[in-house]
Amino acid sequence: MSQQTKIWPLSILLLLLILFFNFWMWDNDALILGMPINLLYHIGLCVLTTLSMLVIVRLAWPHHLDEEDAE
Amino acid sequence: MIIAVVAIYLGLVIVVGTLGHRLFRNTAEDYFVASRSIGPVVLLMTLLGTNLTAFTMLGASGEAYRLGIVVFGLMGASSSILIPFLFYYLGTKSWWLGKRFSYVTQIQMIRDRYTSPALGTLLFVVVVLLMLPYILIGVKGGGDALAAITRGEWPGWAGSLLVCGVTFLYVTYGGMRSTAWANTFQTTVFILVGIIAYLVIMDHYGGIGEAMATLRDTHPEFVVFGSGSYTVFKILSYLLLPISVAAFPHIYGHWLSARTARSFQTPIVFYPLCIAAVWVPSVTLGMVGRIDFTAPLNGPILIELILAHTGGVLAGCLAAGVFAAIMSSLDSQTLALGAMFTEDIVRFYGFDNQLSEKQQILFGRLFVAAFLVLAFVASLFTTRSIFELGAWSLTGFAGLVPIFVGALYWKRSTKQGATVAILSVIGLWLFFYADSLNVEGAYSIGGTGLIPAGIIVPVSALILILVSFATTPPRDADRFF
Repeated sequence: MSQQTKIWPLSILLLLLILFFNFWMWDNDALILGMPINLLYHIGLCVLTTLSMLVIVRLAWPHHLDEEDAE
Repeated sequence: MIIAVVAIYLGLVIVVGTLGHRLFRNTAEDYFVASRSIGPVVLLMTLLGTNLTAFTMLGASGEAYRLGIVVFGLMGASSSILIPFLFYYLGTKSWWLGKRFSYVTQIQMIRDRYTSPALGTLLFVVVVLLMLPYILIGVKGGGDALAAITRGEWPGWAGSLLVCGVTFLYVTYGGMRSTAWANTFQTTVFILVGIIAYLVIMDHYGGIGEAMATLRDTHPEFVVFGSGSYTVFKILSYLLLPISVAAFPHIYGHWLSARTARSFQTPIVFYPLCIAAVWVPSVTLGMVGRIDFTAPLNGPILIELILAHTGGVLAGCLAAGVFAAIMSSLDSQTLALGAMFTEDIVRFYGFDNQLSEKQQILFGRLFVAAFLVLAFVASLFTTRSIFELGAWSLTGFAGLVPIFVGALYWKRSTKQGATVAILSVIGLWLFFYADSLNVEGAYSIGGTGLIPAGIIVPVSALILILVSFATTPPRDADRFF
C-alpha cells in the first residue's frame, strides 16, 4: 500500500511552506482592500492551499484504500 | 439577556446531541467511533470544531491585541497549510488500518504495529498526562469567559459546571454520534458568531479599511510582520506546533469515525478556508481593540469590544460561541480518553480483551463522566497558570508525531526506536519545562525565541531513525503497508 501512496504532494507542501516565508515584505505596511498586505498575503495562501489540496485529491487520491475495503 | 441566550444555546446543543442517539447501535464501535459512518461534511465540521478551542476566539484575539497581524501567520496560516497534509497522509491511512483491524484508539494501533504491549502502555501514559491540562484549560476557560462576559454576576465555577454538565449529557448518552452532530452545530455557531461580531464591531470603526488605517497611524508595528522581531528560523520552529494535531487521540478518534477514505476529501480541501474564516475575524478584532483599549484590560479583548460596542444579545452570542468552541473540543477529548481507558487498560489488562459490548459502553460512559467530574473539581482549585501549560501540551504531542509517521509509513521502524523516541520526548519536555520555570511566561529556549518543539520534534525523529537502524527489523509489519 505504501507504494501506492503518492509522494509528489509533499513537493506542493514544500512550495507552500516556502511561500509562507514572505520575508521580503515583512516590513511592508501597505493596506490593500483595507487590510495589511501581510495579512492579505497569508489569507491568499489559505486560498492557494485549498486549490492545491483540490488538485491533490483529484490527481493523487489513494483510491485503493476504499477499493480494498469494498473487496 | 446574556444568560437567556446562553441557556437557549445550551438547550439546542443538548437537543442536537441527543438526536444523534437515535441511530445508536449499542456496540462499543458505535459508541467510540460511530460505527465508522460519519460523512464528509460532518467530518469537516467535527474535525474543525475539535481542533479549534476557546483560544481561537479569545486567545488569538488577545495575542493579536498584544502582537498584531503576525499572530495569523504564526498560528492560523501555518496550521491551514500543514493540517490538510496531515489529514491526507496520516488521517486516511489511520482510517484504513482502523477499519481493517477494528481499532478505536491510537494505542491499539501502536501496540499492534510494534507488537509491544509495553510500548502501547508507555504511549498511553504520556498521551493521558498531556491531555489533562488541555482538558482543564477548556473547563476553566468556560468559567472565566462567562464570568468576564457577565462582569462577575455569574461566578467562574458556574460556567465550568455548565460546560461539563452539558458535555456529560450528550457524550455519555450518544458517544461519537452525538459528539459529531453536536460538534457540527457548535462549529457552525462559533464561525457565525465570529463573523457577526466582526461585521458589527468593524462597522463601529467605519469598516476594516478605516480601522486599519487608524491602527497603522497609532500602532504601525501592528500591521507588519516585523523583521526585527521575527527571524525565519524562529518562525520555522513555530511550524512544528500545528503538527501536534496528528498525535491527538481525539482527532484520531474522529479519523476512525469516517465512513470511507473519500470522506476525508472535503476536510482536506476546505480546512484552510475554514481556518481563515475563524482566525481572520478573531485576529483583526484583537488588533482593532488597540485603538480604544489600553492594557491592562478587565478581561479578554474580544469581550471588552463586544460589551463596549454592542448589546446584550451579541454578548450572549459570544458567550455561546465560546462555549461552542470549548465543548466541541471537550466532548471529543473526554470521549477519546474514555475509549483509551476502556479499551487499552480495562479491556486489555483486566479482561484479556474479553469484554461484552454492553460492558465496554458502560465503562466508556463511566470514564467520560469521571473525567468531566475530575476536570470540574480541578478547575475549582487551579489558577490561571494552567493556561501556560497549553503550549507545552501541544509541544509534547508534536514530539510524538514522528512515532506515528514511522508506524504508518516506515516499515523498518522498530519498537525499540519508538520507545526510545518517546523517552526522549519525555526527557526533553521535562528539561525545557523545568528550565522555563525560572523565567515567567517563557516559552522559548534560553530566551532565543526558538520554541522547545523546534528541538523536541527533530530529536524524536532522529532517535527513531537511529535506534530503528540499530535494532532488528520487525517481522510482522507487512500487513500494515
